Amino acid sequence: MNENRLAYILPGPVELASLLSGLPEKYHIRECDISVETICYLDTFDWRLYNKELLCLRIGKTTFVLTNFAGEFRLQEEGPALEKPLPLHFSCGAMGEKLISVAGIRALLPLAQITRKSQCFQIMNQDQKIVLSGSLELSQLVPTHEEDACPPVSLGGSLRLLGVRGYDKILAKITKGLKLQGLEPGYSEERTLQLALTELGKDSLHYSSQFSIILDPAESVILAAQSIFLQLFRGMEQNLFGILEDIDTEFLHDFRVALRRTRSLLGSIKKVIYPDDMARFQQGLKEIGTFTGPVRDLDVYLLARKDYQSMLPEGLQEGLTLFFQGLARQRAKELQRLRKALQSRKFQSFMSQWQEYLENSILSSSLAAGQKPCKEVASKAIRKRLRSILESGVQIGPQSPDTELHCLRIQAKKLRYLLEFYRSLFPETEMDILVKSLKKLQDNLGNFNDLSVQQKMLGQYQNALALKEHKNAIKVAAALGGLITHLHEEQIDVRNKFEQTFEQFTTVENSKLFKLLFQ
Amino acid sequence: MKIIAIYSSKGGVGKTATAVNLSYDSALSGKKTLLCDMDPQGAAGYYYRIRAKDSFNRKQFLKGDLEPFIRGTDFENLDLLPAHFSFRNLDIALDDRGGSAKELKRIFAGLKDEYDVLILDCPPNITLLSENILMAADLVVTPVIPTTLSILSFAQLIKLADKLEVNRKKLAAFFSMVDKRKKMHTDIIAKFGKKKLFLQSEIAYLADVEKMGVYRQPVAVSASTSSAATAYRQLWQEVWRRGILT
Repeated sequence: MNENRLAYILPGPVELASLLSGLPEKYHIRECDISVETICYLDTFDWRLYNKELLCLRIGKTTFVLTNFAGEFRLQEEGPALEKPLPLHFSCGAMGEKLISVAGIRALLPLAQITRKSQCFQIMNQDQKIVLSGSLELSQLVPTHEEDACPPVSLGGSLRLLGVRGYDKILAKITKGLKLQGLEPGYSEERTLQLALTELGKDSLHYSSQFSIILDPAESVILAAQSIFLQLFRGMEQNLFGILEDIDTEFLHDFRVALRRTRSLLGSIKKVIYPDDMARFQQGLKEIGTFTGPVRDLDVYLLARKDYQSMLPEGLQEGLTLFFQGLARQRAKELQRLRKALQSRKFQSFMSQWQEYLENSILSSSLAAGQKPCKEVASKAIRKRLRSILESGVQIGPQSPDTELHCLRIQAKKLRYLLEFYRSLFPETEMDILVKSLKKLQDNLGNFNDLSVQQKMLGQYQNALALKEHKNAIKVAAALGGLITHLHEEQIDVRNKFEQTFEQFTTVENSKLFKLLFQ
Repeated sequence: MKIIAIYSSKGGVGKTATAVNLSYDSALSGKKTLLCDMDPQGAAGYYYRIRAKDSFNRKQFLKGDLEPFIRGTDFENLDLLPAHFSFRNLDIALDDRGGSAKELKRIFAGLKDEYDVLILDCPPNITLLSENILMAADLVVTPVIPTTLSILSFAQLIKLADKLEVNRKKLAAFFSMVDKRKKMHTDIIAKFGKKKLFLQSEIAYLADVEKMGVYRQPVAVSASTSSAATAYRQLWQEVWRRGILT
């Protein structure tokens, strides 16, 4: 903390004069007007700012402050007049850049709203020079739309002091006087946020898109699966409101990741789940995957807009803009369909059944194999998946069809999920090495697949255009042609790197690690 | 860090008013600014209501031990290093240290990471200190009253710069305390105003500038909407544009 900037927690309302009672006679206090401002704390749904020890405050409607917990970093700018702004809505200044680097494409959501009554003051010397300034503050939690019924709750007071360079003696004198009154510096903006969250019954860090669970190696696999499924189920549920409100694209993305993880785990414990339940839930989950797909696919293109723009020369940009306008319109339509499906009785009934099954039936209705220790089952599943990846991978040569790479990508993804589910059962450092190594292979395979899917989609769009006699069809088709050519070249490049990437994944060290961990 | 010296060998031309107002405008534009009062009369410190610490004197200054003696003004981004009465012998002291013209450069080197702009309010003389100022500054700004004597003293500075082989681009002058009712002022401005070394901004002879001694604040604070405040703001913008080119 900056030594010139101090902040104290006050037990309750206190008179400024009594706090500064030890002030020598040659100084006097100049009190400024009392101000009251409304402050709203904002963060992304997955607490990206808080995780980096940053706080974003909206003062009034459009003034934003970005500060770190310690208070030594502080940016203040005018920002967008939006309830849940995205980092890209901020102008290209220091705050916009910082928000993009930390929060990425996630929206900033209101966490808590307070009002702060501030009495600013200055201590002047006999030359009428300001030698110290500060403010006495009182914060109150006020209801937002959701908590309309709550009455305002006091979050306590604070005293901030800002020393002036070269006038250290007066600051030392004041702090000594405060110490005699039993006050020590220790106030932070984060403390007020924490008090507000506690009052609202919200936990900081209650959501993370990273999957993490601690399992007991001796517990049965069905018990472990139940814990994992329930965590994934909660992940899906937590993201639903964000999809329906269309707050940012990552709600749907995280929802679908949790869904894929659920399907992957279910598929890996076929011998444990009663076949009728297995069929029913696999089918239901697959359907959710299907109807949530189109909006996500469109999001992927819309998010890559800048990349696409950089692939084409100036002459083709107009066509690309028209193409993206078309995609945005299509997304709006698909979002309506998605909302309808998520609000349908069928979906809600399935989710209730799945929850009911996980909470009450999964343990009692599982098959005998479900009682095996989870570490044993995990090791076996990982070994099996790894073996099939190695067998498939070594057979892929320069002439192999693309489909073989796509199959390998799916297998690698399944292995990744297994490693994530059961991470806590194995030594952390070794698991980190393997996951990192697998991630490199997945990146190569993922890029290859993405490029393939994109070319296919753009080609289909181009063909559909050919059937329409639209005035802009030629411009759009030309842009798409340019993109397809670029993506194809990139795909060849990625494809050429596969053999080397796979070889790096199958190093002697990795093989030893796999044997050591999962034997 | 850009070092901008407000210098004239002639007294009473408005150096301190310029240094005080330009440093305020520099800080206001977001640049971390230090105003260094080198004039033993300490007028810049007076305007900002800052006295030097008792322990500060010429000795610490010459050692380059400045940091503990810098004091914050009432304005964001603006600090001040007050002058000390012992600065009146700064020339002799510089001479005692070997007479180098590069001493000031060394003294200020320690400030370069903390400040974007260092403005020097220089005393009126033409001595070894002037040579040091010419060597250390990125831009030497000279207020010139549109009178013959004032022009002559600026010519003297140009001569000194040439002698020291200092690039003339480092020099800039502007007309100060201009009274357009005086024919001599208008004639001199007409004759010299178009010269490359002269900035386009002028500071008129204004009551608001004189009143700085009463209010002890830059004009942009005591008379924020006044023509004096506007004139200094324009002068600062012009000075800064010149300064970044050097």
